[in-house]
Amino acid sequence: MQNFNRVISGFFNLVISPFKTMDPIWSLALFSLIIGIIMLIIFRYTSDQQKIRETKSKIRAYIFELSLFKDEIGIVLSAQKNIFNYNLKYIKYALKPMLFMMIPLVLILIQLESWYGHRPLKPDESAIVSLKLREGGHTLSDITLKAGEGIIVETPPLRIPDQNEIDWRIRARETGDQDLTFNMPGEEIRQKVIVSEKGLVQVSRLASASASGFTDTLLNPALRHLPGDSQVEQIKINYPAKSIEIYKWHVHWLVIVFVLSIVFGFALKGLFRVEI
Amino acid sequence: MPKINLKKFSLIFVIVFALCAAFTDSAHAYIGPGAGFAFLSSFLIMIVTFALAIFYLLSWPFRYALRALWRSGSRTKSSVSRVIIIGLDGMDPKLAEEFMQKGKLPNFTGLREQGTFTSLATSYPSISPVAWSSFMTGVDPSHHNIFDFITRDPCTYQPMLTSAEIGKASRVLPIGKYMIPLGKPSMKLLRKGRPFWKILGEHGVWSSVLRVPITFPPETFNGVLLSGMCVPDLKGSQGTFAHYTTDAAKNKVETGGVSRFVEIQNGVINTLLYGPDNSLVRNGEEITIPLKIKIDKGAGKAVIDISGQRFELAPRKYSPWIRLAFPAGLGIKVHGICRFYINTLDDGFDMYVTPINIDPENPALPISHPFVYSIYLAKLQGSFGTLGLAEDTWALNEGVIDEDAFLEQAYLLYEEREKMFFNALEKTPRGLCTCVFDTTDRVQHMFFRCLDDDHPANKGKETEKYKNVIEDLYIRMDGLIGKALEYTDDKTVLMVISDHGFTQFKRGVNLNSWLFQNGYLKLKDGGSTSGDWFQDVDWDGTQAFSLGLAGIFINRKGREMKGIVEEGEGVSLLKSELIRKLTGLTDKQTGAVSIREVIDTDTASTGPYKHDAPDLLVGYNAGYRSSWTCAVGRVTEHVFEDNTKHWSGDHCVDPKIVPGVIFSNRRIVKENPRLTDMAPTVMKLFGVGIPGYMKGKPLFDETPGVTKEAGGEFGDEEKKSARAV
Repeated sequence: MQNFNRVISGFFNLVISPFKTMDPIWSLALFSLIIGIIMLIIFRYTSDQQKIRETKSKIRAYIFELSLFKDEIGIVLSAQKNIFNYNLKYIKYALKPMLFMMIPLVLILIQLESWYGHRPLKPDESAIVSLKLREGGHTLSDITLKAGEGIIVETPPLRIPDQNEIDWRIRARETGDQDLTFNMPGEEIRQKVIVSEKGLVQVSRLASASASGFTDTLLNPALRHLPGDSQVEQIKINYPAKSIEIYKWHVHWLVIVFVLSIVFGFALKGLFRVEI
Repeated sequence: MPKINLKKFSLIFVIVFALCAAFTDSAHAYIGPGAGFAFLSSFLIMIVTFALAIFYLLSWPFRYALRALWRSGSRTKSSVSRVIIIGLDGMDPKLAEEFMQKGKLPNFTGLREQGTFTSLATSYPSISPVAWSSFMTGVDPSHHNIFDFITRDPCTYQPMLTSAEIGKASRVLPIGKYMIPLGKPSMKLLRKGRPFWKILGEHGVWSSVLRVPITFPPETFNGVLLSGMCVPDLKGSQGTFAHYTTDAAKNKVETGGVSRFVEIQNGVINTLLYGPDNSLVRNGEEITIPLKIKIDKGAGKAVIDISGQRFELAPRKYSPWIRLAFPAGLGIKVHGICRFYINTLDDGFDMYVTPINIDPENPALPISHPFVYSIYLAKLQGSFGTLGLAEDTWALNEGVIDEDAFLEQAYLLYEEREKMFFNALEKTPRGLCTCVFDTTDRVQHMFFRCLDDDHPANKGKETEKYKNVIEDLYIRMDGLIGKALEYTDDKTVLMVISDHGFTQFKRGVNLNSWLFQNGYLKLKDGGSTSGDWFQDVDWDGTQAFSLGLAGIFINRKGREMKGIVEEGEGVSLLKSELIRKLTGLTDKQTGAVSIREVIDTDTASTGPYKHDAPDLLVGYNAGYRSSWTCAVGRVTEHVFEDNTKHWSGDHCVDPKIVPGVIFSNRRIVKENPRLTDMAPTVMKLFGVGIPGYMKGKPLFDETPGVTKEAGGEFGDEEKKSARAV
C-alpha cells in the first residue's frame, strides 16, 4: 500500500509541480477535467448506454407531453407519474456505473484532500501537536518535546491519560521544513513540520504512525511510517484547513471539484459519445 | 463496446462502497462529484417537471375559463365527445365486400351491422392528394387547388409540386465560399381552403391529426398534427433511395433512386452516402458522409460504420432507423434517418438504403404542429418514417428490392403509424382524432397484379406466392379496427374511410403520343419521339400537352409562356374537339375502350382555382391509366403500352369506377355519401356551424344545437390569394 501511495503521490506531485506557484484554482480545474473524463469513460463502459438513452428519451417525451396536452388534467398527471417512474429507472441504470466510479474517484479525491484539504503553518501561526502512545508502553511523563530553531513550543505538555495522549501547542517562526524531536526512554522520533507562506504543499494531519492499517495508509498519502517496534502509535499536527479564494469567497476545494468535474463531464460527453 | 461482467465485480464494489462509507471524509468526497454526475440531471428533471405539473394544474381553471370566454363553446352543443376517423388509403369497397362475405373481416362486418358500410364517392380526379384535400376542406379541387401530385410551371413547362413550395432564404450573407442564410427558408402550402379541424379548433374542439396527405408544411390550429403525403425527404425529393452493388449490370436504376457501383477490397467497402445539397456553400454539392461496410461472409453478416455508429446487419433484414448527421460546414449539421437492407453478401454485394427521411427528433423542416410534436413522438416510440410516400414503391419497381423486402418495409412503417395512432387516441379523450394509413394504398398498388392472372406485369414475376397479400392486408386492417373499437363508447363516432378504391392498371395511355400523332403537339426537327419533361417539344407549334396523371393542359396564350391557343373561342373549340376525339378512345390491341369520358374543367367546376387546373380531366376505363412515359412528359412511338411494372394496380381512372369506402358505427342517413361530406359531418357532430362554401351534407341525423355558420361563402381570403389567369 505504501508503494502504491508513493507511486500515486509521485504522479500527483508531477502533475501539480507546474502549478505549485499558481493560484490553486488552476490545478483544481485541471484535476476536475481529468475527473470529468475518467467519469465519462467509466460511465460509458459500465452503463447500459442504450437503456439510458431510451429512458432519457422517454423522460423528455413525457416532459413534452406536459405542455402538448396541458389542458387535459388526466394526461398531465399521467405524464408526471411517468416522468417519476422513468427517473427511478434512470437512477437504477446510473447506480451501476457509480459503483465502478468509486475506486478511482476515492483514490483521486484522497490525494486531492492531502494537497488542498490543509495547508502548512505560516510564520507566527500556532498549531496543536498530539502524540499518542501504544497501550502498555511508556508512561506519558517520560516524553519530552524539543523544537528546532524555526519552531517554538508555546505550552507545557497537556497529558490526557484516558486517551494515552500528550499535546503541545507550537508556534512557527520561520518558513521551511522545521524539526520537532520527541524523546522517550530508548526512542527518539524526529517529526517534520512544514512552514510555508504560499504555494501548494502536500500535508497530512496524521503525520506519523506505527503499525498503520490499510485505511490509515489509504486515507493519508503523506503519512510517514514509524518503525514497527516504536512505542508511539501516532503523531498528529493540526495544520489549518485550506480554502480556495474565488472573488473574495472562501470555497472548499471539494465544491470546486464537484462543480467543475460535472461541467466538464457534461461538456465533453458529446466528444466521448457518452449518454449520461 | 467492451462489456464488464457486473456480477463478477459487484461484490468487490459493494465492499469498497461499505468501506468508503465508513470513513466520513472520503465518503463525502466521493458522494460529491460521483453522485452529482449520475443524479444531477435526474433530480433537476424531477424538480422542473413537478413545478410544471403544479403550474398546469393550478392554471387549468383559469385557462378553461378563458377558453370558454374566447371561443363560442361549441362543446356544450356537441352530440359526441369524440370522433375517430381512420383513413385507409385506397381501401376498395368491392374487395372489402368480398372479404367480408368470406368471413375474413369480423370487425368491419360488426361495424357494418352496427352502423353503415357503403361506398364513398371520391374526387375528380381520384388521386390521393386531391381526394384527401377534399376530405379536409369539404370542397372540390377547383376550390382547394390540388388536382394532381404535380403540375407544370407555366413559365417553363417543367414539373412542380402542387402541394408545397420550398425555397431558399430570401437573403444570404456571402462569406468566402459560404452563403449564410439570413432568415428561414421560405415554405408555402399551396393547398387552399381551410381544413375542418382548424375551424373546429376555433370553436374549442381539440384535434389530433396524423399523416393526412397534403398537410405539409403544417398549419397552426388547436391540436397536434403530423404531416403526411408530400413531406419531402432530406434531399428535397419525394423519395430517392440509394443502391450499392458490385454488379455493374445491376447498376441501372432509372427512377426513384441512384445506383452506385462499389468494389470490395480486403473484405471492406469504403464508399459514401449522399445527402442533401449543401445550401450553405456556393454551387452546393451533395453533402456526403463516409460509409464503411465490413463483410464477414463466414458469419453471414456485415458491419456497417456510418455517422459515428457501428451496427451489424444480416442479409435480408432491415436495420433499425439509423440517425445521420450531414456536416454542412460552420458546425451546422443536417439530420436525417434511413434504414439499410442487404440483398446479398454471397454473390458479390448488393445493398439498398431507404430515402433519407427528415429526422423526426431533429427535423430539418417543420413536419408537425406544434414543431415539438414530431420530437415528442420520436422520443416516445423511437424514430419513424417521415417521408410523405414512405413505402418505397420505386425500389420494388426498379428491382432493387424484392416483394418480401417491400412488404416488410411497408409493415414496419405501418407498425410505427399504429403506435402513434393509439397514442393519439389516448391523448384525445375529447375532440377529433384522425389518422391516415398509407399501407393499404401502397401494397395494393404493388400487388394488384396478383388478383388478375392475365396482368402483363405478371410476366417473369412470382405471382402465386403473393396471391393473398391483399387479403392479408385487409385482415390486418380489420385487426386495427378491432383495437380502435375498444376505444369507443356511446359518445364516440368511429368512421373508417378511404379516399378511393382500386382497379387494375394493365395498359398505359400516352396522351402526349396521341396528341403528337393527331397534330396537337409538335416536336422539334421533325422528331417522332421525345425525352422526359418535354425535352424536344416545339412549344410554338403545340396546342395541348399532358403532364402527371390527371389530364391535358391547353397551351393557352397569356397563361403558358409560349402559349399559342387564343383564349375564348380558340380554347373552347380545341377542348370540344379533344373531348370528342378522346372519349371512347379504343385500344386496338385489346379492343377495349380506354377513355370513358373527358371533362372540361372549366364548365364542370366553380372554384377560383379551376384556371390553374388541367383544362381537360381524363376519366380512364378500368385497366387503363396515363402511361408512365406520359406522366413525365415524354412522347413515345405508341399511344398504348403494357404496364409491366410491379406498380400494377391504380385508381387514376374515371372516379365512378373507384369510389372509396365508409364504415361507421352510426347509421348514415344521407344517400350516396361523398368525401366532401366528411367535413360538414364532423362539424355538425361537434355542434359547429358549417360554412356555406362547403357543398357536402352531414351524414348523420343528429341535430344538436349548431352555432351560426362559421365561414359564410367560400373564401374571401382564398379569392384574394387566387392567382390571376
